[in-house]
Amino acid sequence: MSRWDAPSGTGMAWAPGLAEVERELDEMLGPIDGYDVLGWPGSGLNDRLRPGDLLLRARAAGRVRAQVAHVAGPELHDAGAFSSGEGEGDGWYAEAVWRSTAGSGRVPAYVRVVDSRGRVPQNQILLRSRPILPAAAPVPAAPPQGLDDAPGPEEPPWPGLGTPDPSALDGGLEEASPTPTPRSWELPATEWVNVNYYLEWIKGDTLEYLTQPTRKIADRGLDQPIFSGLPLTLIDLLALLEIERPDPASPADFQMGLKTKAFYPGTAASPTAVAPGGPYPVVLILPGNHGVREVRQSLVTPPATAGRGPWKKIPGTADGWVREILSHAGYEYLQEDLARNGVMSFAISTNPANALDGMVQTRADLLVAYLDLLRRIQSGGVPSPLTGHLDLGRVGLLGHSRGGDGVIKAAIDNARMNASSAPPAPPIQIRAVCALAPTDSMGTARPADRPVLGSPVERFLVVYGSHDGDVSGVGGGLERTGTGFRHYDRSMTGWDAMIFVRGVAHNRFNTTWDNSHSPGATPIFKHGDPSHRLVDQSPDPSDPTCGVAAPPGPPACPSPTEYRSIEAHKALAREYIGGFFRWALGGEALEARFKGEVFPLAAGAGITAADVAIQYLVPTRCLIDGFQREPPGRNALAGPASYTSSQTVEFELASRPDGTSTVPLAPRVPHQTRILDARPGSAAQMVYRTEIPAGPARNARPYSHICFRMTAGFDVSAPGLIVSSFPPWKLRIFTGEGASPAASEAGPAALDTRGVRTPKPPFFHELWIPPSGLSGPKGAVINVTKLHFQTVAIPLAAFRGADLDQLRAVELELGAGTMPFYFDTLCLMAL
Amino acid sequence: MTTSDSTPRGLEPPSGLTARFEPLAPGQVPGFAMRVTVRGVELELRGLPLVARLGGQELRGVSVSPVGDGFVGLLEHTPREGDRLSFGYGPAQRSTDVVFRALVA
Repeated sequence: MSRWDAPSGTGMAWAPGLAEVERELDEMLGPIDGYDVLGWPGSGLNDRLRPGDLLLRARAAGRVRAQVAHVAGPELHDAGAFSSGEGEGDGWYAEAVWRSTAGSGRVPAYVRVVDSRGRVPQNQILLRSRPILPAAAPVPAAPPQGLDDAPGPEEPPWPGLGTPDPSALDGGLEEASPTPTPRSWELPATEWVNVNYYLEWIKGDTLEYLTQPTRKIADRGLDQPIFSGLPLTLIDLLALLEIERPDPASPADFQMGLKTKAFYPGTAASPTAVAPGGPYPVVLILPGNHGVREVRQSLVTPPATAGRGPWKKIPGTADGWVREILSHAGYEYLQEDLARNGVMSFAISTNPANALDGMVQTRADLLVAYLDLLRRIQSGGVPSPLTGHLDLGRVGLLGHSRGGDGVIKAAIDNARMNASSAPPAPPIQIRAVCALAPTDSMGTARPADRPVLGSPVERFLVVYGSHDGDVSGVGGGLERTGTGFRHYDRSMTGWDAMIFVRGVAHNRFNTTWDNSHSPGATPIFKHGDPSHRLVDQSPDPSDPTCGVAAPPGPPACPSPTEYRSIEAHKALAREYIGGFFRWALGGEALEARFKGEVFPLAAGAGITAADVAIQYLVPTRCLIDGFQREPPGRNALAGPASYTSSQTVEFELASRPDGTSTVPLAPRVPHQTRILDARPGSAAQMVYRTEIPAGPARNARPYSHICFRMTAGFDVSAPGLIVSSFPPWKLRIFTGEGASPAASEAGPAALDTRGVRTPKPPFFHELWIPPSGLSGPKGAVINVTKLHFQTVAIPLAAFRGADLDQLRAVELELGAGTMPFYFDTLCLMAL
Repeated sequence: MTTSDSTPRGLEPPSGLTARFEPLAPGQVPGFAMRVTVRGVELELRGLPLVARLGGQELRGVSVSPVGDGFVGLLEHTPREGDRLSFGYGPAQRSTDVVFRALVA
């Protein structure tokens, strides 16, 4: 009998050396020269996990030979961080995919990698496919949080719950591909295209979103001199930088210059070869609005810098130099991570739109021009090593800031073009869109003009930070320029998620942008400089000019720890944005993080689960009530809905007066959605009741949780006034046949609080804006703390005795004397 | 090697805020009566759009110059005599000395 066959409960202690493990594996699986052993029974892990690593479990005697799982994500989660039913005891788990002979093994699971002391259990071993060619130096191992070096207790070989059914699994070991080596490719020369600039505005009396396209140089004022006294016009300067130029075929019009840098899964052996295993899904990254040029005076040739184009001499000056700020070079850390995980990405220059201060449509059209560039790269029309390796049926878009507006509109336009009578060929299928700290420039237009993301886009993610000092959400949900909250509120892709993260800023996701609050970084702008106070603004006590240099200076110096570091922003981008595309396009089993079930950032990343508030809607769901102007007294299922308090109303949340005055909540509410404002008033309690009409909607069996969005009327005027708890509530469901369905209730204690699902009170933040606008030293503070919705989930199993075949009604109950409770999107979901 | 962050000679933005009010011929830019070009400021290109007003009328289609030294916008109606220019990002509106003076023949 192999020692791997040790039956449960034998207490057998086995602490083999590596050679013995390899002999054992040779015996069990045949030669394993192609693998390195990451951990063996009783050992720790000798490297951080990577996607594609293999976990082998001992066979169940006489049934199967071995169980094999591919690790899907590098993160380790503690046993409490994911759904029940997968647990195999205390310890640290990774997302993984079990393999089966049927080849259908794409079922995500959580596998126990090490026990609570960091030791590999007795019944398993971890392997890494050995690269055929020399690989990059391994990342130093990082033990899971809270582990120590004490020897661990013996682990039984088959410890318990959640072990996949052995009858469905066997030793169908598949070769794991070596981790690809990220390689980059840059468009060798600027590609010139005819793309319009759009004059865009919302017409005040009708709220129409109007656009007027033009390519006329004079229309946009590009024929004006850049500064007085120089024989150089704006179009001359832009042409020097290859951003815009006069159209050779029509010199009164301008053209836009396309530039892009791709990162792709490559090999260690070749600087240009694409790794086998493609074609690969593709992500386009559209930066936001930012300055396009940097000027210097130099006595000799100025130095080159990453993230900047080459210096060019300015004609007509004795020693003036100019170079382009390459905003699209600021995401290489994310691109490399995507390439390492089998996703190709193209960061695309948006400077042609930035130079014109373009809003939504200019950016969308520019992105559509890049989609056409992808077609030409794929077909060989543009010489590239990537030709033939792009999967244009799996394309994702990432847009930052105004780029967020742009990618959403471009995805809508692309779908419309694909459905037209003359679709572009080959069609490009945009399946996933991520908006990072996006503007929402069209959200206050009439509803018909608001962009709504939906099919064929399958998944949508918003990432936004509480300390965004540019798209700060100042003014709230009724302002013309809104935030990602409004995009999320409108989205209808079927799989929508939004994370709102405490301490996260605007510029820090882009390494070429101004990030003067970075610890250790040389501040680019000091307080008092016009540029500094416009971006990610809070007075920084580490800045010696804080409160000093521009008397009377900024009025407050919050703790520097409020801002998460640049490295924390990068980690967030890798795990949530990179993970989003790896999941949505690459098929990795990372879904759990986008419904809040797990928190993927490593300990020490600078952002914790307590910093993340999440909203989400998964495809398998049944909306009971969204409060979206259904007929009076009816819910989304056309069932009756009622409230016992006259002060409880359905309302556009941002327009709702707060509890003490007639002032709208808008400055504190970033949303654009109708909700239930639940207030007991003078009554002892308030009960909202909604009925499920007879029919299939009464069957709650397909779902695991009953969910809703919630926030409350917190006093956010000062950090110390934000209470830590929400108003107490109860949710009651009525189930069963007959005239008197049985009631069963659950409260906050029943919430599923794994991962980041615990509801968070508001994240306090003040924005420093000089009251005199763009000049003047005096500072003022504007509180931009937001009452943000978050999705909460109660396991249906918490409703004891409920007959889930017959869900008849749902009630929300609030007690008296509590602050207003805002309630929305009551639904059943299969989480 | 010596470099300097200072603006090269000859590249300084014009000192003092100036505004040009350019009446538009009917149909030249449909729906608009006047183009306003403002120079002599330093503006940051950022996510939030610049908002500008002349008196009570908001400029439409405001776009910051590629080098950040000013902006261009359109007015649907000819402003009233003495209407004052203000502009800024979000709630930070800066009132200026620029006022509209109609040309009187």
